[in-house]
Amino acid sequence: MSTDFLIELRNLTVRFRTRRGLDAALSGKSPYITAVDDVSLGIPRGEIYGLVGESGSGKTTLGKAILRLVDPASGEILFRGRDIAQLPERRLRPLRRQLQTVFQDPLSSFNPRHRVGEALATPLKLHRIVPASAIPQKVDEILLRVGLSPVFRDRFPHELSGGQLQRVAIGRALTMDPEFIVADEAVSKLDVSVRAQILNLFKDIQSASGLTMLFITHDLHVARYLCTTIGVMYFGKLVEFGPTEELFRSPRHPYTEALLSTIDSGGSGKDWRGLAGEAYNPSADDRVGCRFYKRCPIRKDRCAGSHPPLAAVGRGHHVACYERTAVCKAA
Amino acid sequence: MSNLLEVRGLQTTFQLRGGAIKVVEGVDFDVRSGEVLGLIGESGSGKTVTCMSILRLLPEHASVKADHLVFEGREIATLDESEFRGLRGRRMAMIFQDPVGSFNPVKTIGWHFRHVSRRVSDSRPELFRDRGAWKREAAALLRRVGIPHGKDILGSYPHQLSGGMLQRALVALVLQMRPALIVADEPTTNLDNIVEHQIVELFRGLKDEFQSSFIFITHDMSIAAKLCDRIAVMYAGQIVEVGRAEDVLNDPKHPYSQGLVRTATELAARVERLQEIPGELPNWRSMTGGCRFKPRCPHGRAGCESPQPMRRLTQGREVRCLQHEAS
Amino acid sequence: MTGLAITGILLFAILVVAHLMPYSPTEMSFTAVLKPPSWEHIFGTDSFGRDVFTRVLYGARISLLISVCGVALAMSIGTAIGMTAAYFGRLYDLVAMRFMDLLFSFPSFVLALFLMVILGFGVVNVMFAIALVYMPLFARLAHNMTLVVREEPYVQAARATGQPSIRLLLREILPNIAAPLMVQASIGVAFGIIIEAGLSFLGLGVQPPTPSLGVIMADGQEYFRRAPWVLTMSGLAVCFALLGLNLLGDGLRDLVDPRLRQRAE
Repeated sequence: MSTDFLIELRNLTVRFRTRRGLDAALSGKSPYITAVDDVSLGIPRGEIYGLVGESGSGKTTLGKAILRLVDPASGEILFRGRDIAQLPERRLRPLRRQLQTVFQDPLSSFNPRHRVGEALATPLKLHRIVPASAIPQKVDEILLRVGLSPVFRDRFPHELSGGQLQRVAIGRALTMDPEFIVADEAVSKLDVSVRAQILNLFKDIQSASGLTMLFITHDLHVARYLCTTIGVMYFGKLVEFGPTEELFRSPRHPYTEALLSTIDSGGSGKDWRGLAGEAYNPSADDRVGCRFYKRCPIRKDRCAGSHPPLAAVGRGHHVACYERTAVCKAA
Repeated sequence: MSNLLEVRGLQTTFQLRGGAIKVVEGVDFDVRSGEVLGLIGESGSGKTVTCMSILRLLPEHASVKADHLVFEGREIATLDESEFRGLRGRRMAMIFQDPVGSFNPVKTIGWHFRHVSRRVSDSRPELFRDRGAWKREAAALLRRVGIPHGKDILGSYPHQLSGGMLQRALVALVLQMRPALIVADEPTTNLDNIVEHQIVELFRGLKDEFQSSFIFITHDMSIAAKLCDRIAVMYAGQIVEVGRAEDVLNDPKHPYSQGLVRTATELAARVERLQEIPGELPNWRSMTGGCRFKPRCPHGRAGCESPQPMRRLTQGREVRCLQHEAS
Repeated sequence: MTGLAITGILLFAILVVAHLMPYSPTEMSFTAVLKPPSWEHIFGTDSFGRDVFTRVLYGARISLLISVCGVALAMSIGTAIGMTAAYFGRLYDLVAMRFMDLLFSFPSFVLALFLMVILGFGVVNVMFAIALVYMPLFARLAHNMTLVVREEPYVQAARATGQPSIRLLLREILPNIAAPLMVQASIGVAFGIIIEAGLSFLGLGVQPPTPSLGVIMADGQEYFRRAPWVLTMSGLAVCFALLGLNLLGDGLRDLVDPRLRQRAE
């Protein structure tokens, strides 16, 4: 099973220090915020895996951790079966070519002083993908591939619109012909009219090259359009994952149900007023039981004891919930 | 149903280094008492600038002109600054996209409520009838917006609240003033799905309870569907379509509105491939006098190069498109 | 703009006019001792009969040269330390920046004096003194800006592309923190002149007969009662240079800002 995965995470935990030195010693509280909490998942080759959740759920941090833009506290990140979680930068660098990313805000993901052509040429030069003489031609090729005219080569990032710049960002990721791309809210900052263009671009590129992708978004519709498997994160934990249609048709985790009910066009669905008022508060670190306990409409006493493990409720469909898996187990 | 706000011929020009740019041009619309008008458009459509022009919140290098700007029966375009300041924040208020910037970070939420209460003390004397009156009112409003432990929140600082709670607190704060008109500029964009849903529900309830009118600015069609009575669609500084919400969303007439609605519905349905609106927003400096959507429009024809007026289809339903030449 | 004009005039004067002067800065003439300003000698002459104007021009050149070299040294070393400390962090950051703070805590002139005592007199040592005094400033500035820029998505993107750290620092971070550093440099040169003038005035820096503004001032101070023009003119020259450089620095700062503002539109 695990050999099918291009990317596999095993018990990945990523933490950030919020208190230092004397403050940490005196406050009595934990000096860390756990952004990604013991997450295990597998992304098979050629799949677009969607990671959904609210801000603060840890989905962005997870994406960054896979790319080693932040370092994990513990756990394994297996790329092609090889653990890169603790790999020193020197050994990691040649692999970086295979793991690329597209950020949320296209404008800030480009050095404002470099022209578009230069931004695209840099990875080509760095990894010696084509001989130096062939670089201008390759840059034009990439621009065309993402639907832009080669005239954009000489423009500065701020001269392009959001949609155009995001295309360049996708192009930059593709220059290195990577095996894996993390798209972190790649369409969220774009206008609706442009969103369709970029989503289709992702779709086309992926089907043409068999790229594996992790698509991070808070927009369930977008995830549904693009992804074959979806994982739902809450408060650092992966609470449910499964094939897209199955997840939409029969979500098993109460949080997933709540999310899906908000996009129900009729406005009907369950009454989730119970979720009001209990805002996410990372500094109140009472992370003992199920993270969703406070807002869960079906919670029981045992849920406060320890966070439920992921268990299968269907083919490739796993849920972390005592109640929902108990029902299945009973059957 | 009378008009709370009437806008005719609004034009806003920005003086930049390279020249003057007309960011908003020829904008006409009404807001009726007790209704929610949705102002739909994307970045660069001019929807935020339009509202900030009306509320005189733009920087110095912007000049605002209007043929006719009537609020509560009064012409407000000619008011001088001090008179207008009496209106703004009391009779008309604006809620911005990012709640964090709307609060003074070194003051408690309670301080903000007291500050605001003092500001409307003449129109709402009951707030200072006794020592704790405004505080009780604030706590009640906070409860109403879905923050049950309102009293505790009054002692908190803005950074201690999450985005969703802060946005709700801001709504409560604005309501404390009981303005006749509330402009909400994409208040849910930075929030998560569930909180967004709650705020939309909140607005729905408030409209009836407080008889305020809203201008609800958004780019999200589905939110507009849930909340708005009427909708005006803006593109490149002009209003291109206006009408009742159900009409505009179920049967959009302008090709741009059609594109927006189509993208929204396609994502909700499970289409194989999204249909795109080709091209990009026009460059401000290179806009011609004709239809601004023409470069991206599948129905472009001869005649579209001339300036297009709004054409009335039925009572209250107008489109800025040659295809709907009035009979 | 005024700053540019003034500095421009100054540079022109010391580079071009200096050579056109009929006098040499060291040529003495015992017949023309302590003559007041006249058409022949615009600033008058000093106690050795040397033309003060020529000396001021040459002196300004030397003062400026020393200051520029010192500040350049400060800027390169300071920026390098600040950037690498901020980027690589941890122990190196702690040690390096604390050391910079230590240097920073000394009053600048005292530090300069201290270094002269250790290193000895002379032009080159004045340069080192100026460098040492201003290095912490650049280090701290570069450090803080690097901390900010390091988190920018385009830097993360460059990292993800596999750019090695040094290249990243040079290509991505440095150009984007350069502007405030340049502003600081122009102001630094202005105050570097003061340090040089001060040290030379005390006899610790440039050694006579080589003119530097400080040397001339020291000289003029001795016979101020009889011939006030020497001290006055050289002092005014220092003021003029300072004014020009400061205004230049302000102008540069304004140049940086509106570009950012324009981009936001």
